[in-house]
Amino acid sequence: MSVAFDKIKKARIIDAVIASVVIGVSFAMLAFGVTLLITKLTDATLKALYFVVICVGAAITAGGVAAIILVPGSKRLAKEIDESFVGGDRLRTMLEYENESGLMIEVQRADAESRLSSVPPRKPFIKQFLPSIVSLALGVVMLVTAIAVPKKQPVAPPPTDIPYEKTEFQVTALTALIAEIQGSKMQEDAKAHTVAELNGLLTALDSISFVSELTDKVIKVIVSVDEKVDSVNTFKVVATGIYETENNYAKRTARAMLNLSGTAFSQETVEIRKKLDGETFKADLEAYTAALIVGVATAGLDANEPLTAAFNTFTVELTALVADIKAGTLSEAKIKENTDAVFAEGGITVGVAINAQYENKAGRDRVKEQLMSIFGVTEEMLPKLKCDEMPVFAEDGSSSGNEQQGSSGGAGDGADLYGSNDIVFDPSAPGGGAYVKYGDAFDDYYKKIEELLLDGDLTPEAKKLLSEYFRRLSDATKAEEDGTK
Amino acid sequence: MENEQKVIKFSEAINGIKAELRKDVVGQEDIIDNVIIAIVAGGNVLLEGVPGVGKTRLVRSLGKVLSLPFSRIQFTPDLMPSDVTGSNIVEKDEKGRLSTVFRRGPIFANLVLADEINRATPKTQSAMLEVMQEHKVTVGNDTYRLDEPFFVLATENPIEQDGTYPLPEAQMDRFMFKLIMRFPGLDELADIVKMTQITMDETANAVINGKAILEMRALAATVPVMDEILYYTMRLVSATHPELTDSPDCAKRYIRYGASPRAAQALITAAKVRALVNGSYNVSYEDINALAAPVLRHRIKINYNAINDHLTVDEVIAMLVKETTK
Repeated sequence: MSVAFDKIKKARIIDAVIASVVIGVSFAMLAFGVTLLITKLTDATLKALYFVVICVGAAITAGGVAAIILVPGSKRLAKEIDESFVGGDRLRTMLEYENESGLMIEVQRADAESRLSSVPPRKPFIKQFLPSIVSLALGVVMLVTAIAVPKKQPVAPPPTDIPYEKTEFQVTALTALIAEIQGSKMQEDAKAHTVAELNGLLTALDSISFVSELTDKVIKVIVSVDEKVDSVNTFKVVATGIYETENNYAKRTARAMLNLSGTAFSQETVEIRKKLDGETFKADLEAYTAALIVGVATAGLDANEPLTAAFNTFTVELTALVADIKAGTLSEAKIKENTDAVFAEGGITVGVAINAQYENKAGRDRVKEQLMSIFGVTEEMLPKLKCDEMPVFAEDGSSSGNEQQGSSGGAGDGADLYGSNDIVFDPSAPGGGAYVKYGDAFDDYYKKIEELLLDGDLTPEAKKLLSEYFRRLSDATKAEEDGTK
Repeated sequence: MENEQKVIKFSEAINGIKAELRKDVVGQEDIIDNVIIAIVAGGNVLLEGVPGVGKTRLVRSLGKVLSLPFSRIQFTPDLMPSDVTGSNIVEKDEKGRLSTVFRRGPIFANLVLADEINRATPKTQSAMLEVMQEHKVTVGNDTYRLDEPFFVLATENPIEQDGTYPLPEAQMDRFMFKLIMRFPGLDELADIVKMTQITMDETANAVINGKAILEMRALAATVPVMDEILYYTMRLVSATHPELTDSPDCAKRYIRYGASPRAAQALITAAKVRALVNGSYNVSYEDINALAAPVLRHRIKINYNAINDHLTVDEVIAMLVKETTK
């Protein structure tokens, strides 16, 4: 083999190998960049090992193919040199006859070799390395682009799903609500459940991520508290049982219960007493007593349930009264006195139990109101709450006019009491005091005294005294109406 | 060194021949080159050209330059084969005894100009062509070998075709080349007139002799040919045959019948000489392509499609060269 040709071939092979390596590295960068870009722009993820495999595979494949194309064999190199420099197919002929001898062959060989001296061993740099330079540039561009492109952010949740962040106000307000409930007059069972729910909500605030999640949680708490209070408040069940006895006076008692006001109930009970009069007094009394007994029994509650127990106390007294009247051992005046006392006391006893259930609902109302306010829950978001559902008791057509409608909780109405239209000075009125109607001013005192009577802080004697006082005032009013004053 | 000297001597001889021929022949460089190639290669040339373009002058001058006996045979329809080859005649010696003596014909020369060969009868043509092929003459029971190198330059007058006997294609195969001598250009014509005003005689000097030609021929035969080029030549000759499935579309469309294997032999032999003449020591693609037309134009027959498309045989050969893969 010609020394000169060997030298050229060696140089060309080295250059081709370098170019192939550069191409291999370039394709590795290209493959890495493309793969990285794909993972950034889509949700695809790839382990580092796969990146390595892809890059190495691309490098080997591209480098190998480049080597096959670029690394010249003797024949291909000879052809290239013949076409570019030597001409006349001299070099290829020389290679083909390299193992032969002869006059002309030797002359041809010498001639071809002599022409090789003018052939540069290496191709011009650009011509030799242009493919590798271009591929390197592409690889670098792709790599830089892939690194620079930011990762696609996850799609933001729909507008309704706003991120939630707990505020200090919410924590403070909720904590205050919990304290308020703990200090409230709710029954222990309902109170404990309500406090537990509120505490659970307070704890959950840290883990809630979206407003929708918070709203759901708050609604669940409201519903849970409502259901608990509704399960504890038995007045609707008992009232329904009493109402369905079809006794007109019992229906009045049932309707009065729905006001959930002890004051209203005891007032209505006194009114019922007043209506029990005349020739049918004894029969009406007995019927009323029986209706109450049946109605409460129909409710099917445990005898120790407070409202049921209160009614049982009332009906025991009524039963004893009926028995005494039937026995004929009491005078008319005594019958009247005893009847008044039984109704007054019964009204108060049941009223106390009703007020206790009012406190439960008040607590539920407070929780609902506050949670809606603190956490932006609207009425439309809430399902139908059980405590708000009331049985519908039609007005009794046989009842006389002037039926008192007890107000739902709070003050009674002092307008029908004696002297209610008289003008008195009320020092507690706004502006340092004002002259008001006695009935209006009396209404406030009545409410205050009723609270004292119902919360049990007074001695039984004091309770009896105050009850008697208001009864007499009420009688005085009736007497005035009847013209017997 | 000795080898190089031989090659150098070859180049010098060729250059000397060309230089001397230019003294008598104006222009026609490619004709001169191809004639020299044919002589060195041992082939014969069919020259086509109108009268007066210098065909006879070329051969005469060539005879002088190569120091070789030259003869001219003017073919006419009444020319007999014996007029070409020679014949036995009866002679009386000094003692009056009669004997048969072979009187050599004009063919017994190293360089023969067979002028207007297409005017001779087929019988005379075949006698001539047989001598061209075998380089010997057989008369009766005797065979007379012709001196080497033996070269025939035959001419055809393309104008007067009436009363001619066109050479059959099979006979055309005997000629290594068919060369077309074109009418000289204006400057060349002026040079011719100027030259012939001085003298009509050939002024070329002898450069080499027949023995040197034979040595050159032997040397040229050793010029290496790459297998790739060899097979390219074979593909080119095969491409002239439209009946072959691998032949190109132009062959199928324009050629009636293609060249014989002699064309392949002629191409390689002539290419070796051409390489040496051009200072190269191996045959190249360029050598083959340059000789394709002279070697093939009289060996293939174009059909009416080519005529209708106004294509010459040289143009069809050019298409074949273009479409034959290297």
